[in-house]
Amino acid sequence: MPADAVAREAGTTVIPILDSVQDYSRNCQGCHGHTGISVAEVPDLKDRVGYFAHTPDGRRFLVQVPGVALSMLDDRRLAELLNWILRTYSPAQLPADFRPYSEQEVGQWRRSPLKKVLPARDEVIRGLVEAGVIDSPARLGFKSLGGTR
Amino acid sequence: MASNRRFFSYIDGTFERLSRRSAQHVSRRSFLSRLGGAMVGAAALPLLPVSRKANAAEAHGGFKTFAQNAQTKDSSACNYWRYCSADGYLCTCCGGGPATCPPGSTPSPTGWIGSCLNPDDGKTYLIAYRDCCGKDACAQCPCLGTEGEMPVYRPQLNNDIVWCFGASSMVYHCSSAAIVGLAQ
Repeated sequence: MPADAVAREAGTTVIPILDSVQDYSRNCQGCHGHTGISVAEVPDLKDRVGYFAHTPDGRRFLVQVPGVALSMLDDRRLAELLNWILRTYSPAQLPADFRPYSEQEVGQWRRSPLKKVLPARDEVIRGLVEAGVIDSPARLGFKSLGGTR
Repeated sequence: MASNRRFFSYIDGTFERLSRRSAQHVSRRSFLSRLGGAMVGAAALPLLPVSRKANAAEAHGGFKTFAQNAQTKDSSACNYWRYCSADGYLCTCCGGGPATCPPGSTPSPTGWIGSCLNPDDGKTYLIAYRDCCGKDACAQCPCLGTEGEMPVYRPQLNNDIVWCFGASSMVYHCSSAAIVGLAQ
């Protein structure tokens, strides 16, 4: 079955999906969606995740959520993926002086994956409000909590 | 859907509360019978999918026996090339197609992405495994692709999780496998 036959079978042109795009599809997309928006119970990445990069707690949080910390990617690829996610889905929310994740930071922080994600997330969000990054916690609420997307 | 409180308690560490899609039917995997309890809410946060990497370079090593036995003609057979990591009932046998849901069921907006080697062109393709939900289990053509399978205590590598998050209901009907792209 040559590639064009696969394409006919797929009903569409089959394009290469490589590097961080592939890493995202394999490790994140199933729940977070290919547009960075998915179901109510999964936090939006689109136009949201960049806020977390404003504070040291927020930067660390993004590495320590279990889906990131426990992924099968090595530190280098994971750092590249996190930077890709931030720039692709939430560039407008990044700080002007955004410093991309380094392999070392990711390697260090992922050793302590969060066991209780929501309390840690709430604390990070409080810090973002205090730092003036967002107006209110609702900005980063889940839809299921009555917040708006 | 479950209340927020139950959702929070789920994602705050209770990996054990996983429901097995065929709970009401005979399970083909002994450890599945030990997965008690029902998953409440659609707490997908800790259960991010990880691909079953089908690397062409590994194709002729011991790892890729699925590809070695795969075929590209009959999508109602478990060894159809796209089903290398499919776990469940094939939608093709349930009134749907390899990538389409049967009438009366709805595709889950969440799923996971793996990859399979096409034995004809030797290339690896990304495959989106989405469950069709909202209808009782089809119970036809049960298949179990185990490329890169890991037990449930490694949830990122477990394809037994009911991937109906965000669908109209968590009732699993069948599994589909859509071609997403070329993985190389």
